[in-house]
Amino acid sequence: MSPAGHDLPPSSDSGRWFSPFSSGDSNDRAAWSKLCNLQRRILPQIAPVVPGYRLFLAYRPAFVVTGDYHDFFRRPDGSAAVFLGDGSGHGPAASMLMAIMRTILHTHDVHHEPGETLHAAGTMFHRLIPSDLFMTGVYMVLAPGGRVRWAAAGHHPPLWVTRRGRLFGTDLAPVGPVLGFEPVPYETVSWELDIGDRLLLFTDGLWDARNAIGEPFGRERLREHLVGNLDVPLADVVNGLLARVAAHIHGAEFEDDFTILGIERVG
Amino acid sequence: MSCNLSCETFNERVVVARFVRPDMRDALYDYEAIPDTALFKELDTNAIKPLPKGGTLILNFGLVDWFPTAFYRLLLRVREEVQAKGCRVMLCCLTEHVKEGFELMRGDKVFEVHSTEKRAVTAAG
Repeated sequence: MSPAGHDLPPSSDSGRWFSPFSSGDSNDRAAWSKLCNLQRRILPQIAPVVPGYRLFLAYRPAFVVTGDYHDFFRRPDGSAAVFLGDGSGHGPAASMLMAIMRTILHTHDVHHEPGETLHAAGTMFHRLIPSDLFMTGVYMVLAPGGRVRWAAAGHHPPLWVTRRGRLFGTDLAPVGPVLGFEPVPYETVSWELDIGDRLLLFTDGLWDARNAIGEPFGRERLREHLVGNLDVPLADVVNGLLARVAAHIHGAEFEDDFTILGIERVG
Repeated sequence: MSCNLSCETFNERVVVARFVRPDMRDALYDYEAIPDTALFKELDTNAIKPLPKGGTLILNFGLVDWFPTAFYRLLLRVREEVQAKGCRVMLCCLTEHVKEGFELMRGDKVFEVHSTEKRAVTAAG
């Protein structure tokens, strides 16, 4: 595996990064900028080209750097894999967790069946971090012919909306405990997508974004947005979702990191 | 003095710690380890240390409305401390917002959860 999924060719216009800086930051801005830029260099800024699929990525740190971790891998059998995770907390402390997980996923032979991958990566992660830190995550393999397999650790399953508007991925039963807690087995789930079917992977900073009276955007609105925009291009679905969340919080800053990855089967 | 908790002991073996505010982030959020947070220190002093060997700690979430990952970190750390004393920990009265985040992180596979405090106390024996 090469760094940051660089062995998968980048696609054009398949991602957005949102600057966490506002105009009022202090003199520490230069130092924070270096940290921010370093993380931008190690995180994929756009989604790669994966034969048979279209991907669109968006992420934003809540404070300078993100504890969310997204990455792409070419597996030994030629298929592509995605990892989307969320380190406990946010900001620089949580970014350490994403860096540790990134090292594990890029330097160890853990890319097997998704459940086995999470078990192996989680076991190493458990050895490396203090017991009160953890990461949630979902690992998904995108194989030819619309065959996807995934496993989740303390993380929302991918949402799958068919081109006819049926929604799957709301059942938490296959989800195992968070990574870093204790080594446990994880279930692998297999889906077969038709052309036009879409998946949405995301972190909780999106659906847990709250307005002035503390009301979260919520998973229900997220699902409704996905199902209600079947004829809208994938990038517009993701960008439209961000606009809806921003409207919900009335333009206030996001309090948590967020990452969204939209995937569509195209061939 | 405890400002985030209300603690009560039953039968000298069960300590119930009730979180008394909906949003505990100001007692949880920092870049220190969980044992250095104000909320953990309060729990340790008022609920964990008084637990006798073989006792049970019940954490009542009835008033809590915000469940960030730091709160789950705190629970994992409390579980570790309590188990090291040969005791057990239970949760009760999870509100909808707490339950949503807690179940997503599969806390229900790690902790014993009861719908009411009375049921938790009864289960604790």
